Amino acid sequence: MTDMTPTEREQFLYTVAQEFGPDDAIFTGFHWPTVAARVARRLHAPGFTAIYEAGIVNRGTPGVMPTSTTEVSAFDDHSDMYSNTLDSLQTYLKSGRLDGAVVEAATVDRFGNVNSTCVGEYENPTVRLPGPGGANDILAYGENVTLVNGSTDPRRYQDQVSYVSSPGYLGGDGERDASGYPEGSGPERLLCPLGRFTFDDTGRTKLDAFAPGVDLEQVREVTGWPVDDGDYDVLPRPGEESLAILREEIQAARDRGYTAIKS
Amino acid sequence: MTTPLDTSVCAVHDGDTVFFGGFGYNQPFAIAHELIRREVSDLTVVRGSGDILLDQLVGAGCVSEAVVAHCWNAIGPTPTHAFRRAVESDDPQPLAVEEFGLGDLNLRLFAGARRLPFIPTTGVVGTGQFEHRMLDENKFVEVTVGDETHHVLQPLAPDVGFVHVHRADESGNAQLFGPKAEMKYGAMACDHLVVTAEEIVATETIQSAPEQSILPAFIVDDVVEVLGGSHPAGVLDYYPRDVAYLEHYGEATVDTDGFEAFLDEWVYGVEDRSEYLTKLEESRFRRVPA
Repeated sequence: MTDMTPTEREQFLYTVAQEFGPDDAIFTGFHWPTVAARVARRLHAPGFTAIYEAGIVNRGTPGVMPTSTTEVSAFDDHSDMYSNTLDSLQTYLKSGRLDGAVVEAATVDRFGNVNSTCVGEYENPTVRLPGPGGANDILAYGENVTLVNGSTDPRRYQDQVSYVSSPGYLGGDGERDASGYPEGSGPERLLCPLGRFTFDDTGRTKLDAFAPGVDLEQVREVTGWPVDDGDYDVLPRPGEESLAILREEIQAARDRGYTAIKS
Repeated sequence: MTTPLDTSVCAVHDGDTVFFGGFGYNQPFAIAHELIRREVSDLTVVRGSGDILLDQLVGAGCVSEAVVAHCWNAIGPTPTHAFRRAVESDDPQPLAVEEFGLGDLNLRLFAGARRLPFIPTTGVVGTGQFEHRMLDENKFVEVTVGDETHHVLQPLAPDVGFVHVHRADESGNAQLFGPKAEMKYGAMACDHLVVTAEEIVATETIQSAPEQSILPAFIVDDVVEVLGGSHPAGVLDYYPRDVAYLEHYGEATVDTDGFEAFLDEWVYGVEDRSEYLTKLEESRFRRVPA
């Protein structure tokens, strides 16, 4: 008898997949968003429009799990249009015509800023991370941006990142608005294995819902963020059919070398 | 007239700023490997995403500066270990990285191709890219228009550019299938442009599908035929990304010894791309073309 309780990873992927509505046009980032997009197509949104940063506008389930957003062959069967990076990042994102964006936030702070560049000083880092890529534009210009952090390592949740690779609300309290970013742009929510956060008027994270089986203590322990006591919603669990699909997709990602999913 | 690959790379001199086109796909690896064999040095490399191509050039000691939005091995994803070692420990030599968001890097190339004096951008204040300037104090310059302040970027016009396409004719009209990423603007921003193509086709073929052209012949200085020139990156419809090879690269190059052994095997140990492909054929990795 197969176990019908989703693992933390299965639940997390299911939660992220909910961000892709059947009629939506969503700017889709690499890694978890790319995996979740394929899950979403198989679960409830086969025809949603995905925009990728190489200049791909795509509307169908890839035949294989894409290893990244630049594995063009994975998207070729169902692409409506091929253009270029300038159109994707600097035109479509700013057009006001996308329903949202889903983007990886490997190390995130209370203000929705993301650091994917360095641990330590930029000029002389302890660890040189990959850099922002297109996530910088997604957070700067995107509307209805969903940040996705797949980790429960407390080091990935900070009070204030030391380097802003991709801008959330900067220092909060209106700093983003005063810094020339388009009105209505920026992160709206953060999804992580613990649950869902939104952002309050000051630009700080606010717990919105737990992942099933998670409690306040765990949220406080992992994030280190102030979280008020209270009753919070619980995010929906996948049903039996959905769980079977999630498990297939996780295996597909594993087969294509996704390190976070292999372990 | 096509140019042999080993002649086309003579356009690169030590200290040049060199653009390598491609964004996870259509990457001029055959060119990069020839440059490594020739031990070019002190390059400033411009790419949207550095990928393992930049990693290999850096680890081989060819690069002193990089202007990029990003650098990693897409499979995993896995760090580009040589890139990290250079930035973290000056191994094999110091590497100064001027980081831009990918959109801004594209805007700089767009401006370079159009000989614009500057190009405005908006979402930059408060970012790490705005606050850290490794190569140029004028990375972002504040300007006033009426009673509003804005920031502008410098144009970026590399000395030499290499772009790998699907096909071209002998004149250099270059066609690329699939998304263009940064390639068109990047290529057109370069003073000297080399196009490498999987195949050279007749002008009639080019003219049967002019909408596929990304570069007209008058922009191209050299056109080079190099089958399999993008491996391990893919070329849409021609051959896929070699996932197993990239995974192997990520594991094999974790330390300097492993990186050097890898280069000895796949770069220094072969004379040219043709020998590389023969070696690939005999290996456990993909056949190219598929």
